[in-house]
Amino acid sequence: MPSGGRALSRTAEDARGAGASGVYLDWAATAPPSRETADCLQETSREIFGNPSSIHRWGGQARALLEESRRIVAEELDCDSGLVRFTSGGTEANNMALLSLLRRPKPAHLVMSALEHASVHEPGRILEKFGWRVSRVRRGASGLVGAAEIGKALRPDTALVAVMLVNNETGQIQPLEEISGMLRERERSGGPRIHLHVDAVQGAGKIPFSVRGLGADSLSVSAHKFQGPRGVGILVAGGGLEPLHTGGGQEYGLRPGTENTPGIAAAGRALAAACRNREANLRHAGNLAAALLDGVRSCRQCRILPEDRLRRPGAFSPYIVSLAFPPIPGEVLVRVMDDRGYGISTGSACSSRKTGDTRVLEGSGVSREDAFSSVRVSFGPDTTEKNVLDFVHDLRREVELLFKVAR
Amino acid sequence: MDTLFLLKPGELMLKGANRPFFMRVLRKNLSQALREVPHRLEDRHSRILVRVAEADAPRTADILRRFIGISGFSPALVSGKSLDDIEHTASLLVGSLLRERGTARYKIEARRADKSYPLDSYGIACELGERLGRRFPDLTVSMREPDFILHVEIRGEVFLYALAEEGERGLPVGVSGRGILLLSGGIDSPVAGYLMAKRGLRLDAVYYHSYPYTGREVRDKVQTLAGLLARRIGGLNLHIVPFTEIQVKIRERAPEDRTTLFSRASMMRIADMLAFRRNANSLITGESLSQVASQTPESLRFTGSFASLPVLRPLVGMDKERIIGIARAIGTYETSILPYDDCCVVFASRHPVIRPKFQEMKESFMGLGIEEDLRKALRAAERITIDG
Repeated sequence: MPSGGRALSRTAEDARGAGASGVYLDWAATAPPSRETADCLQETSREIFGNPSSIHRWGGQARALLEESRRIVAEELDCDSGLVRFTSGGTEANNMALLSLLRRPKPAHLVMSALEHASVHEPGRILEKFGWRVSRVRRGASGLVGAAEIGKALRPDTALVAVMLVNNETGQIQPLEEISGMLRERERSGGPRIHLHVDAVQGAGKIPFSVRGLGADSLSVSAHKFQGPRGVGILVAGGGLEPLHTGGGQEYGLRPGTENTPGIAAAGRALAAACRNREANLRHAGNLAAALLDGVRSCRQCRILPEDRLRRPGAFSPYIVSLAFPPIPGEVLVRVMDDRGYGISTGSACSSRKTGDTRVLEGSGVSREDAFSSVRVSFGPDTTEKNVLDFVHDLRREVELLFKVAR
Repeated sequence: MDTLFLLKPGELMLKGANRPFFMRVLRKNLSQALREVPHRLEDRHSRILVRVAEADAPRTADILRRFIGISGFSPALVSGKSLDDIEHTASLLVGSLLRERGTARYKIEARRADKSYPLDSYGIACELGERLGRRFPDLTVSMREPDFILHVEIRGEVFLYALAEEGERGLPVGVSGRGILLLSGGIDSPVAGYLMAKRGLRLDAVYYHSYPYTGREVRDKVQTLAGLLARRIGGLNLHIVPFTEIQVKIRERAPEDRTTLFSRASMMRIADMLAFRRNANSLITGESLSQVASQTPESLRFTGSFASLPVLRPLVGMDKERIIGIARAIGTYETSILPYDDCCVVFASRHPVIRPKFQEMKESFMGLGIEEDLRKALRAAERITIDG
């Protein structure tokens, strides 16, 4: 795997850790950019610097590259290339889809899953301040936020439903075909048109899906999650969305501003590369997740989050595994494993049991205590089985040591 | 042209026979605070005169405003000895004040240290007053309620000054010796340290680090706080004591509801040992009565009993708003409220003892058998010197 960034050893505490380079198991936070991404960024920055809006040859060259990238993205996501809008990232794409509602003549109602990423959850809170009512749907008895759960939350004035494809903390996959099917069925039987927005940030290039297949009206993607560049996102969106920013009319007026051509070109290539190897990578990730879950299951106090993951492995992205060893705070485990040379992550903070952000995990049916202790392990194509086995070995040892202290 | 600042020492006038010592410390602190500004210090009886280049005047004033140990200072101008020169310089001073105010009532206080000067003090005041009155119709004389007093001091040179700025007051840092500040990442302890520095204590701060139960970001935060404090008080030493093993042993060996108090007691004990090593005479904490369980009178008695030196608790009677007000004024508040806590929940008692029974708790603590660990932790401490 590429260097995991352990070169900046800060204190003697680091020296206890394994290996100088370390093992990066935090791909859901960000993936190391591929060589192709880095090369493409560099070359395009130098060579194709024109403004795509310019009439002259430099502009034309940039415009051609931009449109080629748009075609690549459309092909990989299976949508009309006229629907692809490049943004500054997944957060902006999600905000654009949600806050577009502010342009409607009067506030109404929207539904989102309780598991949404902050970039969907927080715009929901802004909409509430403008008079919108928001229903946040927790998972039902099936363990999912499915058509039944969403259906129950709909109202006559529901304008939008937002459900994420792959949850960024647990890897849980929501049954979006089912949800869109239900929405379209209601529409056919005379119901109003409801916009379906899908945050596919943790799914793109990793698990198979298509915009058409999901039946999404808008869908967001972030390039750095699949080894593309930082600062590039994609919003697939039809005519239903209104811009909040205005300017030179770029990206069909939805996202004005001079296009980040090098980033967009690199993002297109990275998505194509990820999709090209998607099946093989997915199988590989499946093996890694199985090895990890197998290795920790017998560990004292280990909780796999949510609990039903083992019973329904198909309902989870194998790229993301959420674990907890209560009462060891997740934050402490992350530090200890960092010292051992492994990069993993957590969502909630030690010592602030009251304020730690456990919203998503609790929405997934995880207890507050488990959520507080949770750590997330996430893989990428470069993660090896040996990485995972070493990790399990060291994790077990550290957890035993920590248990001696924790009550 | 040089700019002069006349400094009025704070409580030094009260200090009788100690005065020369206090002045010596004050001058040393001043030189240290102004080390990056080329300057000269001169004693003027009860005042200190700081002479800097005119271009350095603004930053000198900034330094003086936060300098501990002076009750105020005045920017002064120097003039030649002739009355024409004095009139010219006084006009500059008065002119700039009138531009700000429009009109003003004033009086002149003249002092003639140079007795060979042809006019006496009264004569100087009269003559200068008349000349200024002719120049500035908006200026009126008021002996009882002046808006400002124009001071004229005739020595080897002639000094003129009018406005006094407030200083930080307090005693020069160092005249009371050295104190050990128990510094956490919170709001209170930096304020406590600052207040005691104003009572003349030079500080060594001690922070107890429980990695990996608390993160490096907490350590960084404490170091930032120590830096902010250092800038206010003319530097300090920060000692970072590895505390994890002690926390772990307390956790293993003590009843759950006593862990918080036992940790506090251990910190006090180590700080006390550090005080002897650093030749300090007191410990300083940010404790405020009954703010939390470990700060009830009973808890303070218990934790305080681990110190042989006096434990100074300048915040003991202050409410939180007041403490926050000081923290904002000295610039530590914004850092203190960063969301990194200095104690991990793993070690905190869920329902800590609020009214510990003294004897029972003492015996229970002794039973932990961690005395050697406390010494070991102190030996392993890392010391960081932070300039003011």
